[in-house]
Amino acid sequence: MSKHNLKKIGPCTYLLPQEGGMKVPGLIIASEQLLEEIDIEKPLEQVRNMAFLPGIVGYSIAMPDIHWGYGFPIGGVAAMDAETGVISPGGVGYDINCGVRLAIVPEPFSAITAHAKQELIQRVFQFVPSGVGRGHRSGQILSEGDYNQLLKIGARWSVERGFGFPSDLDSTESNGRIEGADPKAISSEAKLRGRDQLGSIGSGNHFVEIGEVENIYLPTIAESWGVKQGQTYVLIHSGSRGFGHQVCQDALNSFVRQGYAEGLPDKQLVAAPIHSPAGQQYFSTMAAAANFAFNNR
Amino acid sequence: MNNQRLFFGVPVEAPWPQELPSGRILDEEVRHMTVAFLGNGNFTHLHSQLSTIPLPPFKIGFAAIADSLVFLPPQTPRVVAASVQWLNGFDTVLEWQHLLAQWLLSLGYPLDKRPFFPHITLARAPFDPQPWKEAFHPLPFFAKAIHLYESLDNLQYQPIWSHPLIPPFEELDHTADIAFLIRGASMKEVHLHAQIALSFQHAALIRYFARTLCNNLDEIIIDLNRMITEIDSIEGSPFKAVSFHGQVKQTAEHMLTWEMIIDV
Repeated sequence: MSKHNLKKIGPCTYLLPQEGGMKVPGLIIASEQLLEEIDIEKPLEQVRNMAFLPGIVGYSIAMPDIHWGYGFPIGGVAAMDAETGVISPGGVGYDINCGVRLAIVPEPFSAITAHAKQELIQRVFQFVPSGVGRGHRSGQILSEGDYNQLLKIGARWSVERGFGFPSDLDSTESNGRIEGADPKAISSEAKLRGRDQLGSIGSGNHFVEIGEVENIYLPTIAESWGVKQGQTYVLIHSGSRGFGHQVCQDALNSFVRQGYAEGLPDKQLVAAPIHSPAGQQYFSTMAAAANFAFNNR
Repeated sequence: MNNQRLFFGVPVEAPWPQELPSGRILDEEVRHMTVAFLGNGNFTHLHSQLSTIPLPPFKIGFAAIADSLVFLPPQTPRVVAASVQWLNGFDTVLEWQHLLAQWLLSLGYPLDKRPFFPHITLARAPFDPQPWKEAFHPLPFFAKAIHLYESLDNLQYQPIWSHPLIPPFEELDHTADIAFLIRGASMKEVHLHAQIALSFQHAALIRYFARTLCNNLDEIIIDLNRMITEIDSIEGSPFKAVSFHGQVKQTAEHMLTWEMIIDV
């Protein structure tokens, strides 16, 4: 697979023709310059592989952040037919519902003294575990009842315990809850990996950032979100931590063992029909991991 | 070529700590496992026969664990060394060491009669054993080559004959995560070398190495993830999962290779 296979069909839009076992063509959204600058061969192979998934609709798509992943390329998008399509744990990814939350603080950034900023940073490090495998090591472990409840109801669990405002749910995608979560379907390994990690950051590109809104580029949207110039913000990038990783791994292992990878060019793409027992089992655990992530940030 | 001090040794690659306790510490590139110690003497005949050295049956450098410290000889220690825990292939290494010893004997160079005790030499006297005992943690390692070394002054070792070995793994550039090309002569070796590659990045994984034999790549990946799940649950892990990406391929030299990608 090479970029020479690509056919330009519009501005920053390239078609990867359908061939072999591909069920749809590929579509790459990228500028010519981007295609020149990145090592495109392996990600293109993964766009092609993604097109083998049963039930894929329209195109196997790669966004401008396309680069080499595993199974799907990073930046890969595949829409599935909701009735006849498949669900792919590798496509959803290991860190289920990894995302960014923006919290606006009424206090202007300029009103926070240097001393208070120093204190703030120290407190964040004190109360928010970060780094490889880090969770709350001081015995702050979720009770089984709380664990199951937050997996089921999502971010409302945090709001009910005073860690947020009811209005936060209105500005959270899916109102901070994916329906259909089944805590009973979660493995003991997944629960163990996540039990002390709620309210933690993790490693890699995850972070907590406290800063000032310096420039507003889209005033109408900023106003509707209540964002004002000079305001203090808190930005949190995290996901479902070890819990989500184990949910994904459990499903991959199960799908591979059940033979769902047959016919696919890469086993990381392994996928089960959405309405099959395996597909439904994964969906219920994936929803629980997504709800963990909503609470985590 | 008169009055040389020679030995056959295997230089090893390991994720050595940045700092080691006091002593006359060998440079990383010359830390080695002695395979056959010839001592001092005139080796003119040996030099003329180097083309007939019995080569090992393995092309890939063997991998194992440096699992504990030893001070040699025990009564009056002059050497700090790491003893070796073999996970696979010791019989093959031992057989080749015997062949090498017989070949040397046939040339008139009998070896010491003590049994072969594989260890990695780290430092020489003077040293204080206690800080070494406190600082040491088990480490993975692999053999990089086979050398006939000449031992020079001041912990200098000069290879005067070499036979290269293929590394059991090498890190690949991956834009988002970590990737390795894993090599092995068998699926058992692919499994072992995948674990060794991961433990080069995080040596604590050694304690979670496989307890079962895997027959195919799916089982290997599932076992590697079992290992990651265990360590992440107990003490945290920089790795989150080994993906099912890729297949085992056979090279023209009958070597198995697998591109292992790890989510971090």
